[in-house]
Order: sequence, then C-alpha cells, then structure tokens
Amino acid sequence: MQAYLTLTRRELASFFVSMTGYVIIAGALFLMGLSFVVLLVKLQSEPTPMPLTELFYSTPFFWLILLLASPVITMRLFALEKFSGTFETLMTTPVSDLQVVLAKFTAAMMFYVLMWLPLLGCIFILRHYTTDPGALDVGAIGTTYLGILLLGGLFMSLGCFASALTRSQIIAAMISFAAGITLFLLSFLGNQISVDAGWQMQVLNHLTMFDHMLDFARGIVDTRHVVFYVSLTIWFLFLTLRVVESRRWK
Amino acid sequence: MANDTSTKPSFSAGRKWTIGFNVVVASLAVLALVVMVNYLGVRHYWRFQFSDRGQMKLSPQTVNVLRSLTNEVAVTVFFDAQGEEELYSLVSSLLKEYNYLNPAISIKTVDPMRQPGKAQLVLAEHKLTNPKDKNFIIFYCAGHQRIVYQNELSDYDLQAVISGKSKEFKRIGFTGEMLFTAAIFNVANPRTYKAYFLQGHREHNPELTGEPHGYAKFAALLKEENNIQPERFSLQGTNEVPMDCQLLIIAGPRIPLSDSELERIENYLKQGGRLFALLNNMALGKRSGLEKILAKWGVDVADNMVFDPKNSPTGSDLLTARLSDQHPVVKSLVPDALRIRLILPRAVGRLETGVPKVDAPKVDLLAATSEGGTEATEIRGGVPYLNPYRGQQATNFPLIVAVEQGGIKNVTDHGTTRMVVVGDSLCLDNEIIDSVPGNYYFASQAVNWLLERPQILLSGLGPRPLKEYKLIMTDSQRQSVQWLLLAGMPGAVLLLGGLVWLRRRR
Repeated sequence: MQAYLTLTRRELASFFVSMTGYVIIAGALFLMGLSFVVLLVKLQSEPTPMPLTELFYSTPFFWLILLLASPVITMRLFALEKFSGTFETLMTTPVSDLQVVLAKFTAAMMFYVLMWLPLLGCIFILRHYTTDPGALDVGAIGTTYLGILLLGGLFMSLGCFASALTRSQIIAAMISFAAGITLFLLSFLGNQISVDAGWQMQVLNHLTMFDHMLDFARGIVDTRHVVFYVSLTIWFLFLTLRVVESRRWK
Repeated sequence: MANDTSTKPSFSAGRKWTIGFNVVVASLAVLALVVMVNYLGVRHYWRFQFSDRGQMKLSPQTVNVLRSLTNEVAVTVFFDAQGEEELYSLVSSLLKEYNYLNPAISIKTVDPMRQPGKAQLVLAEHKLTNPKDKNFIIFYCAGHQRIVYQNELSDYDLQAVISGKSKEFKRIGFTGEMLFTAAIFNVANPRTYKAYFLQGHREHNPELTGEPHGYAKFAALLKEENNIQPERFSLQGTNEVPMDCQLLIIAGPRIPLSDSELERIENYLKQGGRLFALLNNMALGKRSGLEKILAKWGVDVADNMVFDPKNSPTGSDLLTARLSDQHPVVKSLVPDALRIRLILPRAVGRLETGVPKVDAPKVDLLAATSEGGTEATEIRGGVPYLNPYRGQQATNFPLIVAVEQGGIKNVTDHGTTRMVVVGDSLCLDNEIIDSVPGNYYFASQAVNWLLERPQILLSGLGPRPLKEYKLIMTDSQRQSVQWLLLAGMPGAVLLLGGLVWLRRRR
C-alpha cells in the first residue's frame, strides 16, 4: 500500500513540477470560461427552463474539455517512462505491476478531478446573478460531478491503455483521442438506425454517453450508467495491466 | 556477451505464442464479464433522483399505464430539434423516462430540417399528407396511431399578451405527460367507439369519397386517428338511437326532422348522450327542427348567414376571429393563431333567458367573428340578400358553442351530456376539412372532448409548471465576469505554473 501511495504521489507531483499540468488546467479553464460566457449571453437574452448544470453539459465545450484533456493527461503516464528509459527501472523495483497501473491511474484521476474543480467557481458566479436560486440545485451539481468522475474514469483508463501500448506520447494521445471520440460519436448512432433494429438499438442506447450525462446533469443517478462506466474502466485497466505485464514475455 | 543475450530470447516462439494466446483469452473473458454485468445491469436497475426539482418524475397515473403495457409502442419524435430546442428537450427527456420505465416503448427521432429524406419516409409510412404542424409526435401500436402536435404541449400565459405586457406567448406549463400517457393508453388499448351519422334528411354522407360535400375524410379521421367506428343510421319508422351510440353526429340536415325523430334524439341527450351538431344555411327557411331541442339546452341557433368581410378569403366564407383560450376543444389552436374556416355559417350562441337556473347546462362560446361581422337573413336569386333598408350594425357573431351538463337526475347511463354545435356543416366536408389546418384539428379535438377520453384517463394529471431562469446583470458586471472567466482564472493558473517553473529553475 505504501508503495502504491508513494507512486501515486510521485505521478501526481510530476504534473505540477513542470508547466504541463498548469497548461492543461488553464486550457480546460479557458474552455469552461468560454462555455459560461456563451451561457451568460444566452441567459441574458432569453430565459430558459433548463437549470445551469444541464445547460453547461449540453454545450460543445464540455465534451471538448473531456475529449481533449483526457489524452493530454494520460499520454505521458507510460509512454514517457518507456521513452526516457525509466520504465525498466520502475518495473525492477519491488512493486507489482498492478500497483504501478493503479497508481498511475489514480494520479491521473486526481489531476482530472482537480482540473474540474474550478467549475464550481464558475457555477457559483452565475448563481449570484440568476433570478432564481433554484437554477442551481445542490443535488444536480453533485450528480453532475459524479457523471464527470465516471466519464473521467473511463477516459483515463482508456488513456492509460493507449499510453501503455507505445513509447511515443503523440501516438498514445492520438490512440486515446480516436478511441474517445469514437465512443462519443456512438451516442449519435442510435438515432440513425431504425427502431425495428431491436437489440442493436438497445445496445447503442446503452452506449449513449450524451444521454447518460443528461441524467446526471438533471440530478438522476441511474445504476445502468454507473455499471457501464465502472465496468468499462475496469476492463481498460485490465488491458493496461496485461500490456504492462507483456514486457516479461515479449 | 550482450550479443549472446540478444540473439537468445528468454522465451521460445511456442512459449510466447502460448502466453499471448492466454492473454487474448483472458482479455476476452473479462470482456464477456463486462458484457454480462452490463446486461444484468440493464435488466435490474434503479434510478435515484437527487434533484429537488423532480421535473421528470412521472405521475402515478403514468406509471400505472406504463407498467400495464405489454404491447410494443413505437414513438416517433418528428421535431425540428434546433428550432424548438427547449420544447424538444422537454419532450425527449420525458419520453426517455417512459422508455426507462418500460422498454416496450421505443423512441425514434426524426428532424425534418436535417433529415428530409427520412422525414418523407416517416410521413409516407404514417400516411400524413397534411400534418397540422411541422413538429409532432407519433405514437404507433399494432396499426393504431395517435399524433400529438407541438401546440398542444404547452400552456401559455395568454393574459400577458392580451394585456400588452408581452408580445410573445410565454410558456408556463408543459402538458406532455398527460397527452403522451393518453396517447400510449389509447394506441395500446384500442377501445373502439361508435359514432352514428344520422341520415335520411339529406345530411352529409360519411361514405362518400369523391363528392366534395361528402364526409369521408372526416369519417377517416374518426376511424384512423380516434378509434371511432363511423356508422350511418336512420330514425325513420320506429328506429331509436342505437344503444351502442357513443357519439351522435348530425351533419347538415336539409329536410326537417319529424317530431317523433326529434323526441328520440331528445331522449338520447337526456340520458347523457353526446351530440356533434353541424347545422347549415341550406335548411334556412325550413328549419331542421334541431333548433327547438338545442334551445332547451341553452343554445340559440339563428336563421341567418354570417359574414365577416375582414376575415373572409373568398367572400362566402369566413375565418373565425375569436377562439376561446379556456375550452379544451379550441384552446390549443390559439397560440398558433389557427382559425376555423366556415362557409356561410349560421350564428350559434348562448340563449339568453334572463334569469339563470342553477341546474342549467353550461354553454361555452368556442368561436366568434370579429367585431366587423354582419348578417343576411334572406336569399334572393340564390345569393344572400343584404337588405339596404335594414340597418346593418357590425358586431361579433357567435359561431360555435360547447354544451355540458352533469348530474342529470335518475340518469347514470352515459354520465354527462355533451354537445358541440357548429353553425356550418360544410367546414368538415371533403373539400374544406383540410383546406386550413384549424378545421381538421378542431374536428379531432371536438370528438375527443365529446367522448371525454383524455379526461377520464388522466383525471388529476395536469400540466407541469415550468420555471424559467434568467440572468440579471449590468453590462459592466457581464464584462467583469467575462474577464474573470476567460482571462482571470486561466491566467492565475498559468502564473502559478510559471512561478513553480522559475523556482525550480533556480
């Protein structure tokens, strides 16, 4: 456990000792700010029945942050270590492969959560100026964060897997981005096929991240969405572990 | 030495292949587990609501209807999702709740603006040649379909527009749940009603398709969209109004009804009957006789022809200038400014008797002309004659009324008596019924109100009130917030990063 915590601390610190982490957070903050500025203009010109959490998630910026930030956060996790040659050193220390994978994933998740924390600030700035405090519901904010966390888990584990596959950070980021955007675009495929498509339709509906997030933004927690994200996160972490272990027999 | 280790791999090719195969099998096994867990998760799930708003919580009535549903119901949301973003969002999220509660309800979205080809296919599939509105929702189950139009889905604050406080109709309520639940119930439980068209007095014939004054299109509307089986019948001889008659339609009789026929109709109405009476000026001078019965129910049918020059596209017709914003038959036409087209109608209004009785039927005025309405009471040479010596004072003439009376003593057969009386019968004939969308829609709403269908099912289920959120900021406040969000917060983080970088550099 101590080794796991040490590794996690080391990974997390690596984001903040260079400019990388700050640039990622600043970029995400700029996009968040941009989306809220769009909302400001929209809400001033015409009232809306949708609460702020729902409005924010439905802007393209939310998904842009998610799809762009995840590969950038995760690309260096394994690829940089392999490229710089520290990976073998790390793997010869008395820590298990599982601990390494979990520590890197945890650090990436913690950084991801830190990145999203300023969202609370943006929300409370807007709350100050709304006509009805009900525009911000504590329950809805909580579930929106849960949704962001679950989505982040999936995207971070996907990024870990992509980073473990290659020595190049760019390739890792590209794999992660391509896979992430494919998952995201599946959300829109459900509408394109016929209702009579049966189980295919049900499968596609189950994969619709856009709708999952809509529920979270409305203050609804559906166990189906939770199962979906947690199970896929575990699967990608399992794949990452297998890739990390592969150095023993390659 | 180093060369030796690089040429001799730690594992033989066979061993590597075996390990690789094991990894693939293990990965697939975990994937299978993931699929199974998700499969079980979809079948057994819970939804927890953590928001106080509870906007999408379904009412117990809806939950009961959906839980009892065993047939597949296909819902097609035919909507311009970007043009009507707010309403579309309400519709789609509500329907998703329906789908979550019962997967037998499948939902498909078609955006006619962005998917014109697909939209045409849907229109052809559901035989919708002239939909009343561009946005609507189709509920389809085993050959039965119901359509809910966009303008039915909202309650508006009409007072604000009338009083001049606002130029736009403000949406204050969303009626989706009551309409969708009713539609699903009706298509899944297609109880067929029977409507009888009285014949024998040169009324409009519901079986005539080619003839412009036939009522075949109206009959098709009853049958295909409202599960009402139209039948013709006669009161000649000793025939009574059939026992299974749930709606009596008397459409434009030109020959007067005999006293015995009128008596039988009156008996039917007294027993809680439902009557859709469409009178016309072709019986002018030789009254149909229905006027006497209607007067007993508080309806006054004048012997005249009403004109409204300001609202008359062809001169002999008129478009209703005023519609009730309270009555369920016509209130949903108001926000879209839909009007009913009538041809040389008779004035049909409330009979003023002086002292109102406590148990008198409730007569609601549904439609009227503008203040510029005029009338003619004579026909000379086949055309209405406006007597120049008789002072013609322009006023608004009533044209359509709805009558309702509940709690009739010793009568429990059908419940309350309901009637809709229209001063014109040509408005629903094959030529006119879909010439303007208002007529077709009025006909559908009128028969549904007469049969009391949505009300029975959804008593107590009203529209959801809609809250609106708006930002109130001055320009300087907005600019400050914009600077803070776009420059202040990201800049502060970059500054912190820069300081850390500088410190580490030293």
